Amino acid sequence: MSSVWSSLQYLNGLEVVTTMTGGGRGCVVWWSSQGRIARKPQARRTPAGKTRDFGLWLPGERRGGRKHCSTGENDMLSAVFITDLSGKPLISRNYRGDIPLTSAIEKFASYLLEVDGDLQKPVFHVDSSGDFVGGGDMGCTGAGGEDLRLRPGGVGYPKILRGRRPVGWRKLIEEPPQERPGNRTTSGALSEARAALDQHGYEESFIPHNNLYLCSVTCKNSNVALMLTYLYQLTALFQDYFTTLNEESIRDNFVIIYELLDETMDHGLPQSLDSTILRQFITQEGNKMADDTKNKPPVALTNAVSWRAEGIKHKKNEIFLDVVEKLNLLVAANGTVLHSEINGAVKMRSFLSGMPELKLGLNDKVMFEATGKSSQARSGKSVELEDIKFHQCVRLARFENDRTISFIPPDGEFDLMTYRLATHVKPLIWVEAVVEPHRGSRIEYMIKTRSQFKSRSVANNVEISIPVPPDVDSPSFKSSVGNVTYLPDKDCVVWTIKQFHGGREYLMRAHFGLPSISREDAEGSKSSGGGAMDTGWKKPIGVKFEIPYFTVSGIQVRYLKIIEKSGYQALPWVRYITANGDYQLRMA
Amino acid sequence: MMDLTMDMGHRAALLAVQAAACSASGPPGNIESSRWQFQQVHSKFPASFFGPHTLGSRSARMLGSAYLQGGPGGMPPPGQPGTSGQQNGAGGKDDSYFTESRKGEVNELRTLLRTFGTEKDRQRKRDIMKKVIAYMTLGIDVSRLFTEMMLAIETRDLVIKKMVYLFLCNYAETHPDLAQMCTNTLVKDSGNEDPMVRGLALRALCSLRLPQMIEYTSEPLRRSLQDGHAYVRKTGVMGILKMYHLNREEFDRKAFTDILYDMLRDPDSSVVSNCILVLNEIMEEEGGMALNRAVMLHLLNRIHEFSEFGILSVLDLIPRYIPANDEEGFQIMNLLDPVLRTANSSAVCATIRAFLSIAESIGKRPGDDRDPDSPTVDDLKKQVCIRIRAPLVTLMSSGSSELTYVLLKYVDQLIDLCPGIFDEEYRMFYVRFSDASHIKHSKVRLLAKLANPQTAPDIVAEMGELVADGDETMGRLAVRSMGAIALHDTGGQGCVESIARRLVEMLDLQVPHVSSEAATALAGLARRHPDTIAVMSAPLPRALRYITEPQGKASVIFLLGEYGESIQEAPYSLEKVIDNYDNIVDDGVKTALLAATVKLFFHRPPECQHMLGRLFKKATEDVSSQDLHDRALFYYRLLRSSPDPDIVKSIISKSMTMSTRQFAEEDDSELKAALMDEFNTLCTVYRCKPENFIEDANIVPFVRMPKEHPLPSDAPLAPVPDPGVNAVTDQLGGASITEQQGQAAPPPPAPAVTSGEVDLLGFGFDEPATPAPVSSAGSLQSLSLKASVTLSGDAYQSLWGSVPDGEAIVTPALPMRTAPSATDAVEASLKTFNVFTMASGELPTEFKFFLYGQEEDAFGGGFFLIQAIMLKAPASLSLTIKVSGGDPDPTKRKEKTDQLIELIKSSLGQYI
Repeated sequence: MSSVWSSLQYLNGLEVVTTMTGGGRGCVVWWSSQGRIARKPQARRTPAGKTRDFGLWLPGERRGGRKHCSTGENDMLSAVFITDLSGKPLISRNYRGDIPLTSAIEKFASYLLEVDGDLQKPVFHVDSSGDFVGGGDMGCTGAGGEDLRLRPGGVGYPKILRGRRPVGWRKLIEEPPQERPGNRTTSGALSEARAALDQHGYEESFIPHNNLYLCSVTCKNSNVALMLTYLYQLTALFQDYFTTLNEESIRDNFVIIYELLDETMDHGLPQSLDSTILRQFITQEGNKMADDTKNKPPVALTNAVSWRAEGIKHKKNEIFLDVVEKLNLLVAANGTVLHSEINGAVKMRSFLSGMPELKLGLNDKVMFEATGKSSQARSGKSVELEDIKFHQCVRLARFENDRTISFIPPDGEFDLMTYRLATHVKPLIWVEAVVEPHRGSRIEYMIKTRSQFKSRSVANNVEISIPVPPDVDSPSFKSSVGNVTYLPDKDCVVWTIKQFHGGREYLMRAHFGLPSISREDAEGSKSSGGGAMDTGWKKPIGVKFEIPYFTVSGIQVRYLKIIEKSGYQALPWVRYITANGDYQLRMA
Repeated sequence: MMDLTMDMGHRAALLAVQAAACSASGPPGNIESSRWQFQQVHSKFPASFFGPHTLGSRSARMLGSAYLQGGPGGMPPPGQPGTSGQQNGAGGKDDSYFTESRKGEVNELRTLLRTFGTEKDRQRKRDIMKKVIAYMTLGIDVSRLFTEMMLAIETRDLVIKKMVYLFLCNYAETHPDLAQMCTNTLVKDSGNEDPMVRGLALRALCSLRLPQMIEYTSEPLRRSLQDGHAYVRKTGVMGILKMYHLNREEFDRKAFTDILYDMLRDPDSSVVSNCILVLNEIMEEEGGMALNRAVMLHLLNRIHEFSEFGILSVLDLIPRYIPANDEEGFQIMNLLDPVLRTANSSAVCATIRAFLSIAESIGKRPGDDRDPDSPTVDDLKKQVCIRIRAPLVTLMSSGSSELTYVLLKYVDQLIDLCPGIFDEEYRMFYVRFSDASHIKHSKVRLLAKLANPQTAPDIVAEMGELVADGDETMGRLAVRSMGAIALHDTGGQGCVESIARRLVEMLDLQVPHVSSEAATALAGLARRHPDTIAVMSAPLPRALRYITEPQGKASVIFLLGEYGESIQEAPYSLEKVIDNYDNIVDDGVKTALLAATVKLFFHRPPECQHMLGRLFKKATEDVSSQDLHDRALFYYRLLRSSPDPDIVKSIISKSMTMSTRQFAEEDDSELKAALMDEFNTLCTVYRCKPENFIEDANIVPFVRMPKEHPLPSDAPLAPVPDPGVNAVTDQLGGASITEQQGQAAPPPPAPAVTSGEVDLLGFGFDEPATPAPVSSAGSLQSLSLKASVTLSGDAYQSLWGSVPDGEAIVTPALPMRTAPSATDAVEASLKTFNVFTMASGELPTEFKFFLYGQEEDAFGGGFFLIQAIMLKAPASLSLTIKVSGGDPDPTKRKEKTDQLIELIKSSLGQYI
């Protein structure tokens, strides 16, 4: 984000749209037995013929319920812990006590150690004998044929560590507590329970973050999406509190982390994870009991606007909008675009007092159509957003009705909405590589790059990384613009262009020496297949860039109305930026 | 070891010194070496957490220093002179701290804690406490400080309180006697004036995990359920679950479940979602919370109030609910549709599951004698899949790698359910270099399922790229996926042949795993499409020479035997293998060789006769495999004893061409069906049934709501008690589920706090006692208010204060059509009904009124004190009513309060 706020578009007083006509046209009914299914403004995306008209079904006799013999579901975790990269625990919370947490943490560490980094799956099972079992994928080991075979019919799934059970791990399990005189029954029962616990298998799921792993454990058939989502949101929450979440910040803030772990989850069931709410009663400084009125658990939980506290005051009422689009692109070696997709987000930073009511207008095609402005829709200045997700503050019903985005924003930073467009996009920055390998002596690259956007736009900090074989030496570069550096640790050459204007084309030549004996040769006949299997060649070219004041989708903020009781004048600011997402061009 | 000890001490000091930017202790070289040892110690003594076992290793203490130095509120830097001798905590003044025994450390903490009571500085108090917790975090057993910690519980500092509670919860299990001693304090705290403290104390009390605590816990628990503050109620509900897990036998299930069902009407959504979760678990054996239509509709109509995680609890109930009719099913789906727009992936996934289950319930089944035009289950499921495709793809493309992995599994399952729905999105599943291996593997397997005549050429080309991938598993999967496309014939015209050609090319790639996999794929292909043998016959003999992997070798041998007629060199190639028999290790190859040679013998007897004889000799003498030995004997005897060679030929030369599209072992339709019921759980990720990996005790049976609705179908259906039913306006509110039957206005809600006797599920609808809505004050029988009352502000306040909050009656938020524009109009209309205003005011989001009225009655005229809050958006009204004086009979009082509520409602008729 190199652009500066001073050069922003001032949006107040831009076009103010006439009132929406909510009525029947934009009305959304897509589930109905009244003759229409999938009647949605977007219904045309459903191929014709797939939308069937069903007549009204008249209530008749009840049919027999189908016999279900499956299990119910659980939104439950047993424990959560955070470890460092080696799996050493930093902090943990055992919510239920129905799994042996100490051994679960140890198993996690050994999972990290014993399963190849690339094959570590984010969800795995630890069975009662302590073996890891990954998901029912083929190819857990990557070894020979047998493990790769499909195991049908729920017979089981390949074991990752066949015959490699860590020796003596059982010793690491908690020793039963010592019998305490006078409490024989309780303690006895406990130790029995503990012994029973040791027999149980359990499931672990984890996400990495910086130099940490956050891990959740369950012993039931839990909702996987929940297990992971909780961890993601917990990460976001910690980041909100400590800015960065890493080993140090955990050590520095362990007390507050305990508080948060307790507040976000009770007995393994998720509670509130909203940082704006939690911040009201869990603060870095801590509160003194009954000292100030602020120290009440948030009543906000009960009212309709749970994400915003009352009585917020800012000296200057401002709101900042960032429309950030990331372009995901995959180009085949022959130059055809295999996949392109835009992931956009409207990020907001709100510094508004009171309870402002906001309305955001975009050049949304469906909205134009719904409101009868088909001329605008046809003029090509509107954008069809494929799938939109909103922050919880947006009134979804309102949106479904007339595509109005109306909301009371939380205070501070948040993502108002994200959207996705799977349209075919011309690669904004095109890279072509011609490689001339001279086996045993040298290798030459000729890289051509071209910017395919309007010439008044500028791409900043363009970084083109070109993979090279791992054993090259004595690099030399010639480029018409920018800097070129060789990064031996990543086996690539990075060509940096600070400012890349639209419609330009640049050239870069790289020259490397190759050892007279190539690595494969030295390693013998292991990969007799030769060059085809050299992984270095399969790496794609990656491009990083940022283009300010430009959205690749063409989305525009048409207005942002701010209405507050006190009637203050608020300033909305907006800026646009397009950046690279997963931007890869495969090499020939 | 001695050296190490010394060095460790040194190192710790250095660590401390580093932190304080003070470089007095030791040469730099020492820093380096000690740092190295530090790491060693780490790996040597994995620090473990919590629990009764202790960790006395030095590493723990090392870490301890890190913990203790870290925080902003941590210990003062060691360079700074401590105020007392006891101040030399972690970053202590010299090495002695670390050479002391562990007992010493804890003892030191104890002395520190003893000064706790006299310590004035709040920050210092916190630091002491923090140190204890830090030790606990490291797994050092500090349970000996239990008594001292208990003394510290009496504090007004919430942070300290929380730390003490945490300590208690951790060590209560190992020190039941001591823990019992602190229950009094906890019980007392649970009656604290601060709702935060009440909640925390209650949570701690219930988390002690001591069975003998139940008797102490029940009382505060019950009290908490009627607490005025949602935070306390929510914690109390969770407390019930904890009690249940503590002692299932003595758990008063009936009483608590009744209360919980009643609390489903709590105005606070987090309380409600906790209630659902807890009920589900308490009633696990019955499959979870009992459901009926009224409950379900009540919850669905409030769904917009729930938080992102709270919504899950409601969504998870839906699979167990059978909609009353199709219309209702569609209404529920319409109502839930906006949830697909939330950013929370678990809510989206739960919605998908809910949709699928509704489709299952309302769709028409084969054999159903319903209207032929009504949608079938499959039609509906397809509609569902089409609807959820875009949100799912968005989650996948924006989510992080772990979530993507899980979602790919979900997509896999949905494709099984509705083949073809993701075909158009196939480019989404192209493998990226940056993807993690397991994601790449999932994608490749998915790509094979997305092939249709339009997409197949692109997909096959993509697979061709991946075959040469450096990752061996990847290469194998790519070949296999290509084979699968050809085998299932999903690629349309010419696709099979082009795949066969590609596979043949791969045979010659001379990459061991690729050519082996290609051979295996070709063997399957030849059986399914015998005409492809023409493409592959030429390179087979050559391939046999360089394919080394057993499976691939066996496949080539099979092909040579099966189609040996048309392959000129077949017998000679096999002969070479037979000559090399002794070097073959794998039984599978030997068996294949035997079968192929026998088969070929019947096609080309003269060339095979001798080599077959040699093979029989070798195989029958081979003792490495019983199976092989027996087979060889079988073939031998068959050939030798049979009078008619034609019969033998017909047995052996039976064509292996298959007529179905699937191999038997690939047919897992049963599993797929079972998994469909488990969508959005671990089962989907593991691709196996829950009983395969979950302990039996932890499996929750799935029980649908009984087929017959508990509500008699001819009886007028009681509407949902929550008056919010038809007026949902907020986030998800556009659609709401309404009664078809056209009922009268809903009965007024009975306040949630009055939970004396509860009707299990009916919410009391069946009771005729529901008073009819009143239109004027005149129709009230027993309640009449004095027309002129005077009450001063001070008197009002003292009266309000004299009635404890617990006795106040709180109504759930009552939706209003419009919010009033000013307070005057409201006051005026209330006054006509003899309800007077003490004070009123307007806040940005709400109006607040303090109202009162006095009863005209024999009991000296009880005062009703009312606090009314009208939210502006969404317009709603909530009342808090306190009764001072008046009828001593509680039931009558309640009755009157209900009437008062009605009165107020009718007086505000223009808004409600």
